[in-house]
Parts: sequence; structure tokens; C-alpha cells
Amino acid sequence: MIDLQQSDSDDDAGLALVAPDDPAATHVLVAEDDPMMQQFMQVVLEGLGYRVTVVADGRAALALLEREPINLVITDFMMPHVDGAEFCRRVRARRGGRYTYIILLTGRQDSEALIEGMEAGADDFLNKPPDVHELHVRLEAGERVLRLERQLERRNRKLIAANERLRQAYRLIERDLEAAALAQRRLLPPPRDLGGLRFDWLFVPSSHVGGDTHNVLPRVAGRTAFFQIDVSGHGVPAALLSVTLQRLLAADSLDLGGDAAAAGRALWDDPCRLLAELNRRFQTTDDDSTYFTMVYGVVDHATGEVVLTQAGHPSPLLVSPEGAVQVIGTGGLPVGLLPDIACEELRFRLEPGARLLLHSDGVVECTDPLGVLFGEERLMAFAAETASLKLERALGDLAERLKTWRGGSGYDDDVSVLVLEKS
Amino acid sequence: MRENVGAAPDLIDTRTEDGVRIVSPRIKRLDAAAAPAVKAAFTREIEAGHTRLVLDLGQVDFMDSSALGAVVSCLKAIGGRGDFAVSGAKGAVMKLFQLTRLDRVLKLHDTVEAAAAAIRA
Repeated sequence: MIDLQQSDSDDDAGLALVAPDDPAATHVLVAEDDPMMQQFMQVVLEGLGYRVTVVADGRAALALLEREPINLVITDFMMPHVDGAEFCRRVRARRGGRYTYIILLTGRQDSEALIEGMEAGADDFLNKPPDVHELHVRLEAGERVLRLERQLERRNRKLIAANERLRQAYRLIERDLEAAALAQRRLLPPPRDLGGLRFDWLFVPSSHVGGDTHNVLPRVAGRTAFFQIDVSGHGVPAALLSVTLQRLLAADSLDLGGDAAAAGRALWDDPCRLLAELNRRFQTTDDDSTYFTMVYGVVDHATGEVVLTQAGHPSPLLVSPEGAVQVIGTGGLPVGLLPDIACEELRFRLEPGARLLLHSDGVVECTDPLGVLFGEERLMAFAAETASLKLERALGDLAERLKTWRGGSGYDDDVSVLVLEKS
Repeated sequence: MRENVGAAPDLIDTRTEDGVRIVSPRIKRLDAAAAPAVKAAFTREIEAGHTRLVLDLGQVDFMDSSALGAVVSCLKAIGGRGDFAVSGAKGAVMKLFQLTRLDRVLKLHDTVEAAAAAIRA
């Protein structure tokens, strides 16, 4: 698991190395051209327990900084070659590496040098000749800043590492979800002609996986069952139930534990009994309030007779070849919400060239950027307009229309449409 | 990950009118993000001993399947121990109740007052 709250123990270990009571660890560079001052600084700083390197000008100091990991510098203002201010500017212009803390030595009255030096990037200043106690406390202040900087840098590194772990975990989840999405999509039937009956569909899950699913299942010669399901909620929990239902309904035997023989009609051919059985099996509980809406029906290829049942799912549309659109059914209890489910069988005929369009609520509830629903009326008008187009083309147009309606953002809900067409 | 942002408990008002507890979500879109908060508010009220409850949907413009599930779980949670009514369902919310036939299961009233009066009687 990813733990951003990792202990800061190695920070503390780092602190111990540069603890104030162990200043021997700290290396101070002194840039000073006056031999008297050079000697003074060497003696005083070593007396304070620092490791000291003295150079005579800014150029030599810069060269030394390139070679050695020194972060604390005391520099004179007036020096040959590279003076104190220029030294500061060049140190600040360096890219990468650790921070260099610079204390500028100036004459007691030289406020211009002080201002120029501080503007050039010095962190602090000392008057010449420096008072030993003042020198000590200013160096300690510098060390505090450097310690802080080191801690920040360490924390930064940890954050970068944590971020990388998160990125890897995200990639893993993303890959898993993509695999799941592919598996879910593979359960959908390839569009085809079943002899007297053709079907095609549109399926866009709102995230990788979703609760919508459908199938068209030729059962016996000339009789085909079909369904569209929308499991409540989104994402993985909805997809899990959706896949279970798809598997259960697509199984050849459709063994739902019902008493098929007694009723004289196979369970797959008896939408209301099938619905009651699903409702019995998939009741919601206190812990799991996932339920689903469904349209389940059976169509006879030769006569075009359809018997279907609607369980809380949007009403299917019956579209004549001339573009007359009829809404089939007015509703029904969703499956699993309540123990008793009243069921109505709806019977109608699919004339040659007519279409039956099943859709999930993700289609009619698809909102534009202003929040306006696509709505049933628009879907009906669209079905009417495209009645004479080839099925594949009509669905392609619908996909485009919905995408345009969304205005570029992904869908809030799974969008699925299943269309059966009698030849 | 921050799915419940839109459903902070303070977006759900509760008050008592003559022994009837009124729960009013001040949420336009009652969806998967908001549904758990509504369910939790009801659970709290029931645990606090209230048995006559009105869910006031007067401020709700849209409800999705998750929210519908939450409403039904409120109904089930009260069960035979008390009484539950819904007020203010309109537009898309009313359509959803009709499509799912919950308009025949739930006690629906136009106003909070009517809903409260009905379960007080």
C-alpha cells in the first residue's frame, strides 16, 4: 500500500550529523584577500570548532565550490578578480545542487556595499573586524537555514517517490480496469442477421466498466430472447452484478431454479416468470442496495410478434419503417428493490422493416453543458428521422449526436442502445 | 475519490413539525454522490427514535438510480415500525417514480404539510 506518512526518522539522523554541538562537521569557506583578516578568521573559526578553508578572492572561492561540497561561505566585499557581490551573483546563478549560505564582510560604514551585496544574493552580513560572538551566532543562524533546506530537500525527494508509487498504482488500476472493460464488452453479442431479424447496438460505459449490458439470444428456431439491463450505480460494483446477470441470462439452459416444466413455457420464453425469479434472487439488502432495471422480451422472427416485460427500465420505442414512433409500456418496478414485483406482459407486432429500440436512462438523461437533458422526445425524433437509414448508420449518427450534445465531456452514466429490426 | 463532496450532511435540513420529522435535502441533483448522505440522514433519524418521517424532495430537480435505491431503503428501514411519506416530487423526479412504479408504493404528496398531515392521521 502507499503510505505518504512515512516516518521522518532519517531526517532526524541527518540532523544529528550537523547538530550544533558537533560543528566540526561543518566546513566553512572564507574568501578574503587581507592576510591579517585571513589569519584572524582561520584562528577564530577553528576555535569555534569549524573546519576552515581560506582563499584569497572570489574566483578561487567559486573554483573551490565546484570541487567541494561546502555550503557555508564568509566572503569579503572588496577583493581582486571576482569581488564579494559578483561572487554572490555567480553562486546564485548556479543551477542545481544544494543551497549556499553566504555571509558578507563589509566595512562598518559601508552601507552601499551592504545593499549591493544583499541584492546580489548574500544571506547575511558582518562588519569588519567581526566580533567573535556575533560571528558565532550568525554562523549558527546560517547552519539552521541549511539544515532546514536539507530537510525540505529530503521531504521533497520522499514526495517525489510517493508520487511515483501513486502513479504506478494508478497505472496498475487503469490497466486492470481496461482489461475488465474489454472482458465486459466481449460479453456483448456481435451485431448480426439472425434470419428475419437483425440487431445492432451502441454501448459507451461512463467509466471503464459499467452497469449496462444487453444481449440477443436465439433460443429455438425462429425465436429469440433479448434483454437490456441497467444496474444502479456506476463503475465496478455495478459492473460485477451486470456481468453476473449477463452470464446467467446468456447461459444456454437458463437454469434459474424455476419450475420450467410445470408452467409449460420455458423460463426464457416467459418474461414475467423470469422477472419474478430474478427479483427473488437479487433482492437488495441493508449492505447492498444495488438493483437493476431491465427490459426482457422474446421475438418471433416469422410473425414479428414480441412479448416483453419492462422492469423500471425506460420504455422501448417501436419505430415503423415510415418513421412513426410508438412508446411501448409505461414502466414497472425495478428488479430487486421490493420483494413483490407485479409484472405486465406487453405484446405487439414488429412489422417488416420496423425497429424496436431499447435504451438505458443514460441516453435520455445525457446532459448538455448547461445541464439540459437529451430527453425522450429528442430520442423519439431521432428514431423517426433515421428510420429509413441503415441500422448501423442510424446508430453511428446517434453516437455522434449524443457526443455533440455532451459538448466534449465524458458521460455521467452508461449509454447503451439495442435495436432489433425485422427484415 | 471525493465522491461525497456534494453530499455534506449540512446540505440536508431536518426539522420536526407536530411529531413528524421532516428531512429536506437541499440538493438539486440527487445522484450517486448525494444518495449515501440522504440514506445516512434517515438512518440517524430512525436511530434517534423518530418513526414518522417525511422526505421532502421539493428542492430536488433530478434523481438517479442510486438515489432511488436510497429512497426505497429509507422506506424499508422504517418498515412497519412507523410511517414514511414523500413530498414535493415533480418533473424528472416524479417521472422516475412513475417509470419505476414507486408512485404506487410510496405515499406521495405535493407539499410537506400534506405529507406530514397524512402520516400524522
